[in-house]
Amino acid sequence: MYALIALGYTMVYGIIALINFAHGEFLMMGSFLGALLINRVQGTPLIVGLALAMVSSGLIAVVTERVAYKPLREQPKIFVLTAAIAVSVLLQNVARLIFGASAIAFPAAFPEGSINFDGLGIWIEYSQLIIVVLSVVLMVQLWYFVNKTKIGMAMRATAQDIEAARLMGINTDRIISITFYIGASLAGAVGVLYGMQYSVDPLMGVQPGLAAFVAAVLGGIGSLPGAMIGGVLIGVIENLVAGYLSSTYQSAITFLILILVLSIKPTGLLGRKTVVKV
Amino acid sequence: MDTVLTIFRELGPTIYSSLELIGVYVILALSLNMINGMAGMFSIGHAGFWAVGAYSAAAVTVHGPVALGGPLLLVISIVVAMVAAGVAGFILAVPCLRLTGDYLAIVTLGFSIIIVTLLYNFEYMGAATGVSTPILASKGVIWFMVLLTLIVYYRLQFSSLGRTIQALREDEIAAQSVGLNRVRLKTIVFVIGAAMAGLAGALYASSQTYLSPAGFEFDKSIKLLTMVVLGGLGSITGVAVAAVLLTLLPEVLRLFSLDAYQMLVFSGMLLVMVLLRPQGLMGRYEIWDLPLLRRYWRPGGAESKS
Repeated sequence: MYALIALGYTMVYGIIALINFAHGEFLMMGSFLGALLINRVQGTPLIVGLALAMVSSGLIAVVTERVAYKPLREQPKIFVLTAAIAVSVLLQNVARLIFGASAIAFPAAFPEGSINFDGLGIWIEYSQLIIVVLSVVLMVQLWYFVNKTKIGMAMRATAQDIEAARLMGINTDRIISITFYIGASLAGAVGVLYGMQYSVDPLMGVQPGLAAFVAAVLGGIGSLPGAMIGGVLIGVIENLVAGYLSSTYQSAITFLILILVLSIKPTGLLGRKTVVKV
Repeated sequence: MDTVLTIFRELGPTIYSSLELIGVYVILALSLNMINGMAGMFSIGHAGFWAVGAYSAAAVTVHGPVALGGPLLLVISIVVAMVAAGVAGFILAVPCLRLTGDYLAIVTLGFSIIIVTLLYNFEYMGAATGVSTPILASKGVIWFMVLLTLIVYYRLQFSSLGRTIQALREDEIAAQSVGLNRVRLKTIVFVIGAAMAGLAGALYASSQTYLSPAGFEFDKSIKLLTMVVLGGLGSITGVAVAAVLLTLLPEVLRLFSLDAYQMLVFSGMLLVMVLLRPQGLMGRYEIWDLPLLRRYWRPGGAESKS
């Protein structure tokens, strides 16, 4: 699950070198809208809720990018980052205003039960299985989109060198918007999946958002396979910490990993070396 | 019209009753300004240093030698807090030196989250329930410290050390090529900034009756960041004035029972400032650079527009 969110981070970072703090909030918004639709309208199939969540968080992301990030593209990085933090806190509080501060439960849309492997002492719930399958489907689609389509090629070109891409006739503003849209709609999808496992509240985006960022850094930021590997690793580590230590230490450990990765191998596991231009 | 009158009628007592808090926030905002504005290192976890200072000072005043008496205990707790926060700053500076911009920001955020997590699990100081602290610092003591901080900061900014640090901010590569030691300077700034936040923490701990980890979470760092951005990155007086105004803002909102919107206002303000006037209200100017005052009073002289 972290892998999917981390993909969004990595895509946005790869293209405009911005750590999008508000990414977790896109997840939260998608989760809320999906949950509301399924809750209010009886008999809405899960897939419609999921689609709505993806579209709406994608749109929120595009609006955010246009309003808050685009005017600052020529400014020093500090200001863009400040804007991103501000957007993140703003969205949290807007959500609190609209949806209320308390958590709402996601309706049970999955069949209960689990597959047991008694001999191994492992059991997998159906819901977890569906999450894994959905994640894999989305990832394959993303891989196809980035590597095989024309827009995907334009995205990769923009990520390489935004000026050169513009000179080659690529509408970079549009590409950046598309990137934001895709990244955020992945986050929205995760929001629905996440909301089903736990519950939906205005601050739900913070923890997975940060963990996914660490996953992206761990895997080498800007690299799609790296983000997936990082996501899986962070997910496993967090579960181990929760299992053997205490779940209160989860985020502390996540950040400890981040600090260690950044001080030992800043480019991450699959990152490229960056060259500072003088 | 009525609302305006209400604000003015309530403002006096409100200011008086929150003088301690204002003082603490002025020192905090200045310490963040030192790291963010003067050195151009983007830290968004500043509340972490504050927490280290507040908790280590509280450890002295709550569990320490009470027999020493109030004033001495206060002095000891301040020293302990500054040293503790300075050490934390030094430890954090080591991984941070290799990083710039957004990575640095994330690491400082991570640091503050780690600190808060540890405090939530720290039984000795009350864990999540918090700890009651004796009140040792009066309004006078706090504002004396504010004055001292302002003077020290002013002297530092226009000293040769301050100027080299600002040169580093403007162009790291150029500054290094004329022989400035990047690592040393950045560490110094980080440690001084952290120690100042520790001072604010000590004053906070001994002017409030109660400390809890929830008081040092990410929203406090955002608040500090808003103060620095509103006041103008790098401007001493601008940031100090912004700190006063923004500490009063929640109190004013409370008059209209709008305190639920506090963080909405802060983050909205931050966003609007960044979009419309990223240099802050004051830019890099100081109050005495304002045209009106400048004719009569120019302590910084022409040089103050660093």
